Amino acid sequence: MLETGEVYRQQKFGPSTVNRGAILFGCEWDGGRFERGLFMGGMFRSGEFAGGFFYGGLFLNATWLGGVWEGGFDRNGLFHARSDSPDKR
Amino acid sequence: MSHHPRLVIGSPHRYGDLARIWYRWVARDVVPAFEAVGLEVEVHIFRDANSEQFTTELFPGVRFWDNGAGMRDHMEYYDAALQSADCDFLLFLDSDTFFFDAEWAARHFAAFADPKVAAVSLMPRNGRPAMFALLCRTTSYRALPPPAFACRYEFPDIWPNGKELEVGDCAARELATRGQVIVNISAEEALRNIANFRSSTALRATKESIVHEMGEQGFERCVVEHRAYTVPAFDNVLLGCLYQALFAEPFAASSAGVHLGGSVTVDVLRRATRTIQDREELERLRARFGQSERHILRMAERERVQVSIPSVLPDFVGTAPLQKRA
Repeated sequence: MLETGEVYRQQKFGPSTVNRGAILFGCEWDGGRFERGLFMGGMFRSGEFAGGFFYGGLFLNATWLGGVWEGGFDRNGLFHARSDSPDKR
Repeated sequence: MSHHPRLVIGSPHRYGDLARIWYRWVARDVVPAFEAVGLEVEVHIFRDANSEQFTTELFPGVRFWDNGAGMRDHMEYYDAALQSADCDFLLFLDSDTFFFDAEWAARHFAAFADPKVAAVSLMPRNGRPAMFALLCRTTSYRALPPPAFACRYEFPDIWPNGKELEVGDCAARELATRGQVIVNISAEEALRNIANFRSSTALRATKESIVHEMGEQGFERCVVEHRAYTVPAFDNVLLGCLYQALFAEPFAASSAGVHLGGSVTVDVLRRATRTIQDREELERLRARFGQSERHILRMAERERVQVSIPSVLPDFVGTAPLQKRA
């Protein structure tokens, strides 16, 4: 469980992880559930993005359930602007 | 009737205070310099947020664009401007970028006498053309498949070893395949003629999200742990010095009106730099801060105002000995 106030850089998180407020810089998310916090840069490979802010990373084969899309790349490397979250395409 | 080619100076902004400094320089120096080389000039500002901070009284003559469909953020603004602005040339000039000598910039317009020249990049990134100050011929870019300026991540399957193409990089590559040229001004020449406070706006925007998620203390922790914030934080301190000297108002203020409360205050920045133990890192920061200091001092000199720059590095020895330090 990742909590508010925690900051991680360039780390990998697996399917058992739940984020409830931590900030992740350049991390790899592979499974698990992102409920709150910031995902800045990095690779959101799989799992669920349910809340928080997504900034400028790659969103590969994950499920978008909610949150704030501030910009980022899809699985083809194409950029999607603010508010163009994966569920709207 | 003679026809003057039309130039639009376009810039995405998020904060009215920085835009006030930017427009002061553009209106006073840049517009006249490009008019002097035979262009009809118009200034466009894209209000990416906080549109209430951009009043027509503060920005006389400016045409405003607001985010919405087709222009949802500053990344989409470049293409929207390319497609919709009624002009022959566009000068994209970042909100944190200032010409010390606008006539120098305008002289580079002569490059377009060569029909193969699609653009002049007045300030490079890592030696390559960039968007910080890009003067471009609209017909060349409109001939590219839209969105011409969009950034991209190539080979996402091999992340983090793929290739991230910044705004305008794909366009530059496509233009090259068509035999078009981007004149690429060297970093040395750019440094003599341009002040650039890169990421100073991005830091402020990011702070809004971080504080939303983990409060001010959480943001301070990010500043301490994520060193990429250190230089833009100091650049905002410097821009704040200039802004206060010009307008006697707080810069990057918090909702409570605290100077730099919307960025990183001097006290927080000092606490963050005190945690840096690596002397080489401190020396790199000292050198980088010195460059920004020289830029703000040149800007202050041009404005005929005095600025007082606070020291933020431990055992800091100033790089600007003529300046009084707070």
